Amino acid sequence: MTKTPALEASRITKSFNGIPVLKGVDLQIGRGEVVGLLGANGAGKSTLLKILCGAYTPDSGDVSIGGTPFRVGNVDDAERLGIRVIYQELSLFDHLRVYENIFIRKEPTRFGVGAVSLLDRSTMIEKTREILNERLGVHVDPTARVAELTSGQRQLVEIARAVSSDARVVMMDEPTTSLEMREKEILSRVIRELVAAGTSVLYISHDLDEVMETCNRIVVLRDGLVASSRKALATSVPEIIQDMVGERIQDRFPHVDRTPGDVVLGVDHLSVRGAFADVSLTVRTGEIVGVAGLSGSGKRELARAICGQIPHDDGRLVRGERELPVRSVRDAVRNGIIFVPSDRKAEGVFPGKGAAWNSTIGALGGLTRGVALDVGLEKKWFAEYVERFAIMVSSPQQPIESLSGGNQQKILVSRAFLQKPHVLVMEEPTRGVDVRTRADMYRLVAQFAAEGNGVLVISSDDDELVGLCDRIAVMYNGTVQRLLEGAECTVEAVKFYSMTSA
Amino acid sequence: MRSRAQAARRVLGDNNAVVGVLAALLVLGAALTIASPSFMTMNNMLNVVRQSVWVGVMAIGMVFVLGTGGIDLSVGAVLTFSGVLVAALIQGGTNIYLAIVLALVAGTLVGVLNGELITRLRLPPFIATLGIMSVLQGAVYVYTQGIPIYGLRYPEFQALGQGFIGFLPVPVVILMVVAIFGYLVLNKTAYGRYVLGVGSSETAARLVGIPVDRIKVSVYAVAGLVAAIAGIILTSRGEAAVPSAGEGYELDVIAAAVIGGTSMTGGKTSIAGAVVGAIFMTVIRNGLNLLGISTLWHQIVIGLFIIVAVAIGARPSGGLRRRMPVMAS
Repeated sequence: MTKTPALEASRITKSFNGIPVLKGVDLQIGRGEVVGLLGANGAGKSTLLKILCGAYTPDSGDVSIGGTPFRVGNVDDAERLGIRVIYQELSLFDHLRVYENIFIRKEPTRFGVGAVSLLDRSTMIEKTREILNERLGVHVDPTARVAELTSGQRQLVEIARAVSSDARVVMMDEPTTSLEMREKEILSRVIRELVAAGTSVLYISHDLDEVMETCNRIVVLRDGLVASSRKALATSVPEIIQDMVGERIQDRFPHVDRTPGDVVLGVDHLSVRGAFADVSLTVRTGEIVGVAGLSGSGKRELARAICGQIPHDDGRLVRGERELPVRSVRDAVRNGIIFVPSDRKAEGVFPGKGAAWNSTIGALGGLTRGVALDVGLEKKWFAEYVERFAIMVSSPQQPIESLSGGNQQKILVSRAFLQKPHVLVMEEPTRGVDVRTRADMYRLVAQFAAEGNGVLVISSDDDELVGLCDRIAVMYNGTVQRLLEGAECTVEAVKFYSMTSA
Repeated sequence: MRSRAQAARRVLGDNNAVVGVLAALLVLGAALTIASPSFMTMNNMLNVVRQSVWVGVMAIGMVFVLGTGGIDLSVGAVLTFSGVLVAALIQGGTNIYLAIVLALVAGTLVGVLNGELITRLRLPPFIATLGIMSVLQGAVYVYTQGIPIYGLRYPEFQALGQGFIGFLPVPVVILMVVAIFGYLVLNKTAYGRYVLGVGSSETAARLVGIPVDRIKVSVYAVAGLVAAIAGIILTSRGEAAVPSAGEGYELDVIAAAVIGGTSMTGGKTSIAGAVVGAIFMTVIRNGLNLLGISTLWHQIVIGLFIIVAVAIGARPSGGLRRRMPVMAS
């Protein structure tokens, strides 16, 4: 007797702005089954999740739940059929209390009609206490405001909210990123209970250890298609990684002769409480060093501590024998440590200002003749970089928001170069950037290093790190798990060390 | 020919709003000339220009503050305060020049205080300057007991508010100097770019190494300084320091700056626009007076003018921004 699968999706396709993200995905989840969904960033996991819960409409394909097809793109329909989602970016209302969040849109009421009725608060509080404290063993005051909870507690409340009503399939997107050991055990117990009650779970995660332990079956997405679907007990971590990586990446990283010289940046037992601990690595002139790691690994904070944006609690930075006192961004800039941010819109671009303005803003000291700015010199500098980086811009005054992502990135890099860096610290250098600009970026980074400077690249793109860097420090859970050198730098190795503790 | 137009565009700022308010001003001027015979007279025009000085000078300071995305509601109170201070000092026997310097320093320090409240205590600018405005104005009332300080008949002091340099009244010359200075600093120096950078994107500014907090404190200091300048000149002109002199000015000042094209969210400024805006606000009040309209109606009329002027002036640039999609990803 074939049991109706809890969820069945067939031939799902989806494109954004002409770029295909899902190219025909089939997925089946059986009753009471825990299916893990894995894939590199950009493989389409989140998009698939959003389609399955009705938040996005697929370009084509069908989804049915418990045998009942649901109108795609309809969140209410999906919810009614038993889909519950726990998002990665927590969707709780900070200012409301825990019990209000748990029962949002499902509030029990007394008197009144529809939305205009008195809330039955005592029932809500009681039920919340039941779910959280008794069923889940989570010690959170139901009347506390969400803003007062730790991120781990919030995550658990989010989970409680999803499982508090009849669910058929609970979808979890990176549910353990904020959880500590004990809290992760609670989640495991929740999943076991759900399974015992016949509920299915779709588990999206980067943590291979967890996925292997928690899931019955593992589905790997690659480039918008299902690359494999294996029973967890019948496979291994290396095999899964192989499915994720697929074919060899072509040689798209220009080769520039570089010989490493003196240490231009030494990170000596650096720690930032709550983010990373005891990190040491060196960048020499002529070298490109990469820092890999998933979100929560601490790589972002490491970059920012090196660049003076966040203070470090322990350790120091050195150049050769000399200590570099970096306690602020200005200290870092003065010592030639220049940061190129990943989030152009929020952290890099000065909106409403022109391209040249954005380019030179970090180096105005050099443009000042007496009291006034030498606009002629500015034009000259800008023209030099337009040529050197092949920046496509109609005039120096063109508003920066009207440039493409790739050209904006080049402007930000020119800004960094104008600050005369000894070490360039680049975060996600090719995020949201077209293919041609990517190649340009890699070439200019390699040339910069070859000219006797150091580069530190923090990236989530493993291919990029392997193709570009001489050495890669792979972080997991706040420490450098492994410093890969030379031939050790493979995508498999990077993925391995970033997803498990060695 | 082309460079003349380019130069004109550079001075007016890349800003349709300035042209807008200039047009509005000319239209208003034309209308008032028709409506009242005494409007377009040498005497009245001189009056208007002289009256614009207080709002004009303070509007220039406000442009700096708005440039960082902040706001300063205390300028009117600082005007009153510095006027009272300089009068009290002079009447108390202090050397005139010293008194002026002290009043200028006092005004600047109030600005620094505003800046510190905003950067160190992280108070929203609206709240911090509102609080200071209240305290300062209250302090003036307490000190003066509501009674103006009269009798400042000292030739060196009177020269400030009543004298002439050539055919131009001294206050007008001061406005011009402040305007030119403000324009040059904001548009031609690194500091000016830092001010606009902070207003455009504070996060990006910090990441580049711009000393955001120091810049913020400095613009409030500028606003305090120019308010003190205005207060001293006003006191000189009237030969008295009136405890209610500055009340309500802050709205005219902010309106003048905003009508003139300075954005309230920061990053976009126009000194020339602020000066034209100040003249515009003054012409409105002047016209209302000449037409004999009861002062009770002034508020309403001014409010309507502000709305219309900004709606007309702001539309082109607002639409322009909509048409250029933000392509940053």
